[in-house]
Amino acid sequence: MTERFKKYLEQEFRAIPPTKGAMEYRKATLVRLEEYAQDARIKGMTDEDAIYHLAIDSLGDFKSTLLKFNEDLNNRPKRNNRRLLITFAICFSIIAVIGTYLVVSLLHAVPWRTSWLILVGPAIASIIALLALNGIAIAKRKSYTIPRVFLAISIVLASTFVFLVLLMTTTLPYTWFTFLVMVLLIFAVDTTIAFLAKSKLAFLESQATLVVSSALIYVMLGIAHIMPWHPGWLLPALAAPVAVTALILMLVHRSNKKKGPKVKKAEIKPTTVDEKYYTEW
Amino acid sequence: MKRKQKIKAELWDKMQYLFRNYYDRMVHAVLYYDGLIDIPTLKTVLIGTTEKVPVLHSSFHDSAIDPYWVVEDYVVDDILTVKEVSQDALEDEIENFITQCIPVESKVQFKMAVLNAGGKSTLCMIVNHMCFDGGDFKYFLKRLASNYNSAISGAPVIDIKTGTRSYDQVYTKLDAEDKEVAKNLYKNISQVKDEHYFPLSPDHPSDKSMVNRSKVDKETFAKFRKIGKHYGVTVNDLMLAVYMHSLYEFGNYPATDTVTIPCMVDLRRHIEGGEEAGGLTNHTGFMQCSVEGVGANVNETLVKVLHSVRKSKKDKYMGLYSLPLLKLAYTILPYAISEIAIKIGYLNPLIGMSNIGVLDPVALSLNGLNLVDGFMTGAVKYKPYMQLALTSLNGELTMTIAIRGNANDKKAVGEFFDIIHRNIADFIEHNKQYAE
Repeated sequence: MTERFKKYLEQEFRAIPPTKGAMEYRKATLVRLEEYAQDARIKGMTDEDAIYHLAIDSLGDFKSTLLKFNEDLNNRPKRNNRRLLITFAICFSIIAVIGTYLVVSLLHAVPWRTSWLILVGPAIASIIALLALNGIAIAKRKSYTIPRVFLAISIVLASTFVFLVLLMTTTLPYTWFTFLVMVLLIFAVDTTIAFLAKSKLAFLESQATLVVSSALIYVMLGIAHIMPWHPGWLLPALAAPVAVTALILMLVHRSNKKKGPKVKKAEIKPTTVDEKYYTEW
Repeated sequence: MKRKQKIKAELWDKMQYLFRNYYDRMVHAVLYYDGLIDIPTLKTVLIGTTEKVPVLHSSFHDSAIDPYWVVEDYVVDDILTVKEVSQDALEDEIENFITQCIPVESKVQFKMAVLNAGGKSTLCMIVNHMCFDGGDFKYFLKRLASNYNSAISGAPVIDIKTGTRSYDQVYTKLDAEDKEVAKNLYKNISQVKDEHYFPLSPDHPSDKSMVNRSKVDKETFAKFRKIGKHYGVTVNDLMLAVYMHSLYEFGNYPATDTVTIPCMVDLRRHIEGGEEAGGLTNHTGFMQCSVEGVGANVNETLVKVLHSVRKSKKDKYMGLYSLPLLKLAYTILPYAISEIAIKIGYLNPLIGMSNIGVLDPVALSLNGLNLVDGFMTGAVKYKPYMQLALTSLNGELTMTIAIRGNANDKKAVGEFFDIIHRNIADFIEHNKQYAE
């Protein structure tokens, strides 16, 4: 019976790549089948053929199970042996931040009206760190929409904190400019990611970034009296035709590229099957 | 005055001491020989062995901070009793001897009796479970026999292991990564709430210790094993199934109830060098066996038992759970507090099973005297706790249930044994085509 199970599994497991994980799964499935057969015999079944077929049936749609297993194997997160250490580090950091806040406030080293920023800063930093970690994890799966949203949220949070710090601890004018810079940053960073991720809309977004940035810079320079409103308006006004021209040139370039000779598809060579792997127990 | 030597109380010494609340802490063995044991030789071997294992002649000192052993002076008569008895009185003498309890303050922690009747000796021994468990008890008896044989043949060399008694030897077979995992198995596996109990009469001060025995004869046990072999299951699995099946019947448990009983596991399987490694000590863990309802017959119950024990058997850390938790409690807390903490967290199982295994008649023979019968059993349990212990020798299986009780309890245990016998017989009948 065991040999029959082995033969069946040796055949079925050729559907997925020969990995160590697949080998372990194959051995575990053999044990499962043997256990099923053992149970059937103890329950009173004597027809070995019937036991064999029932045991195989007990695996259900095994082809799909195998493919699912293979998919899970590829997506399986790596074991994190430092989980405990990270938990300790987080707890320690929280205690350290709260402790610092209380000590500096109680000793009047920093006034109470601003010392709360000691709590807000690390809290925002933690959220940004979480967003970054999750964003990177998702980006590894070649999905970039959510990471880009996470990045925009992170910039909003960081800008808000910078604004609060400037407002509470300095007498600088135009601190609210932080929010204008924030929009500029979001556009710039997102456009960069779009190019890195080879997004189809990257070029279009870059032109939008050009127009929005020039408008924001014009407003900031005008309000701060660094550049006169007139003829400073030429800055955003020129940005728009530049963007439209660039867009037309890009479309023409793409159209020429499509007319070029077709690239031959690479010949697919049949891979050799490692018989030793599939028949090893 | 010479200052007495102190020995560190190891983790299991403390745990077994805590178990005084549930049982009498004694491990028992009775070996029937077909001739007379040479007493002077036995005395020589006993003194040599006791000298080499200081914990056997030490008294245990409870302390709020850290308990310890103190090595004591002794004479061989503190250990050995030799008595001539009539054949009729033999079993009563055995029962009287093995049901005594050695106080922890005693100068020696084990006692032996040689009861001579009709030109044959019966060797009885009890030992404080704090010193060692059933696994090392078997080793001790084998060494006692080989040392006796050497002494008789004129080479009185005492060979017995004298190494560390530390609990952490159980990690020696694991590689670095597995060891790290095993040392973090803080899960408390005793916390399985099973309120099924073995029906005994209410606890009473007049209750006395008793070791109830029943035997499965050679022919029946051979058939039983043969069927097991056909199905590819162990005697332990089979007996667990029969035991479970019988418990449902005897205890009138609803057929759909889930019953969980722990089965003792010898942790020496995890030790490099096995039973020869380290010193005499305890290395016992347990695996939980749960059945979700009883089967219509023993075969069906066996399938349910297998579903449970397979999980444990596949687990490379079998029996190693909770050890780090105990270690942590004894390390960070003073002993008095750790004992309270462990007592709160530990649920002593109401029903258990311990398969002590095979007694090797060749290894236990004494200078040509054959071991014709015998058994080993665990501690005498206090109500409502009970445990079935199994030992096999010369193809026979001895079942023992050691409890504190009265005549009614003895009768109840007898009835329970009858049910087990009937279930074994039914199982053999049901599978007779594989028994021949």
